[in-house]
Amino acid sequence: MDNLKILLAGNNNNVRTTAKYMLQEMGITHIAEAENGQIAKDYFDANSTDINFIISDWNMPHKTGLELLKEIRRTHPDIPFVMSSVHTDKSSIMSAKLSNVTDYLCKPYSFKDLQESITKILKNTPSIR
Amino acid sequence: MHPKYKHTAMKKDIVIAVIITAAVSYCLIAYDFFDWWYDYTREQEDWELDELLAVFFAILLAGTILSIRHIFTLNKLTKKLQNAHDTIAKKMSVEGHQEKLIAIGELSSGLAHEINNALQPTLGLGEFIKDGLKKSGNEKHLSYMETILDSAAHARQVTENVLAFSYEKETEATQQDAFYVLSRALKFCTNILPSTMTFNVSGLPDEEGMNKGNKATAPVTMNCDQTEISQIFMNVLKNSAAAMNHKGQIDIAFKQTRIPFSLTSAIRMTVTDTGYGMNEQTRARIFEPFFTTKEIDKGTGLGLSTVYSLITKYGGDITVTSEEGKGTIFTLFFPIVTKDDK
Repeated sequence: MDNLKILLAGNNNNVRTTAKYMLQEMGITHIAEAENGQIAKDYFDANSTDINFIISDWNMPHKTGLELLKEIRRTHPDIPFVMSSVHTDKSSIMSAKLSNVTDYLCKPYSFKDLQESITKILKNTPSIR
Repeated sequence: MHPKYKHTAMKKDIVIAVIITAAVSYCLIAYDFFDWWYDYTREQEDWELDELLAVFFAILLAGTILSIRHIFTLNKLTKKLQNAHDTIAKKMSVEGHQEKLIAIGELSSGLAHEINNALQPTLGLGEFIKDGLKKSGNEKHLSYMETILDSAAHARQVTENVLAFSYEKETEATQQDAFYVLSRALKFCTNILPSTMTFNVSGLPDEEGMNKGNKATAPVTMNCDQTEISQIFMNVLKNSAAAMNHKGQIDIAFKQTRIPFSLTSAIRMTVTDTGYGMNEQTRARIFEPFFTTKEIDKGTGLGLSTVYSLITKYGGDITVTSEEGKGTIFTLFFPIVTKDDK
């Protein structure tokens, strides 16, 4: 967990802060926040060596989570990308999976859901661990 | 024309006909028309007027027959128009209902998304507060927090129901043995509903007759999703069970038939309860989203509207007849493909 450098994207302050608190509870301290998709993309482009994990909301102004995912996948096909979304329908989940999302969390998710997701991803990504 | 007005118009016609007949007869009799006519024609033998008169009556007769025929044709046309009007009116009301459902679906799914977002902090961080209170032994505030979390979990349940209703959770339909799907759905529901209820089921082939759901050998198949069919059963049966206060017997009968006024083959399912039934106003609204007769907290009012949107999505239909104090009969039609259709 110590090596995790997370970029947290989402326009809803309360939701984003909740995720930040949850990550801090897990012992993760390197957390960068972006309040929309465009800011997230710009931040990632400027600090891509400083980020090795992305958690993003789906619905965001300027750039949606799905657009962000697609753009990042072009340059970084392997970076873990967790989509958190209120869209629980199959077609939304499917389109995120087609764009190679690493994991998909349906909101509202619990601390346990997030913890399990991150643990599972880290298990499969030895480079971060 | 409305049947009521048609009736009055006919009455008026008859009165006019009687008056004209009486007046003409009176005039003819009063002025000794026939005597005069007889004398006149005798005097003018060479004119052959009596033959002319015969032709005149023949024309009159032909005219009368034509008029009568015309009236009957008009009547038929009126009836056809009336039927067409009824069909259109019915279709419009169904379409209107569906449009309303779609609009409400979109509106409520947007709302559900917002609420799910808003629930994230409570459900995500609430556990930490609860743990903290537990550790510090603050029993009073711990029970407050548990109430808050319970309530948030309930809200989550409601948004889940709303999203299921508004098609957010799509499913995949496949061609399956129709009777097998229906019997599995029924089994699922009867296992879940309280054991104080009994079910008298008829019209389902026995287990061996269903070939374990092999669609290649099944006599009838339907294109459906098992979960959705179970959802339809569950909501209808829950409604019937609630109407009987979860005590007594529900009759469930299946029959292979066609959807009324259409050529679509279907399995008809009738669910008969002996519950408290409903009046006409309630009956007219039961498929409306959020309409419920239950107390707040006891029902979301989405059960039967979910049934309606699911079964119409499959091209089927659901109707209901009910008598207050005696019970309710739900009739559902599940479209099927038979061996002959293939």
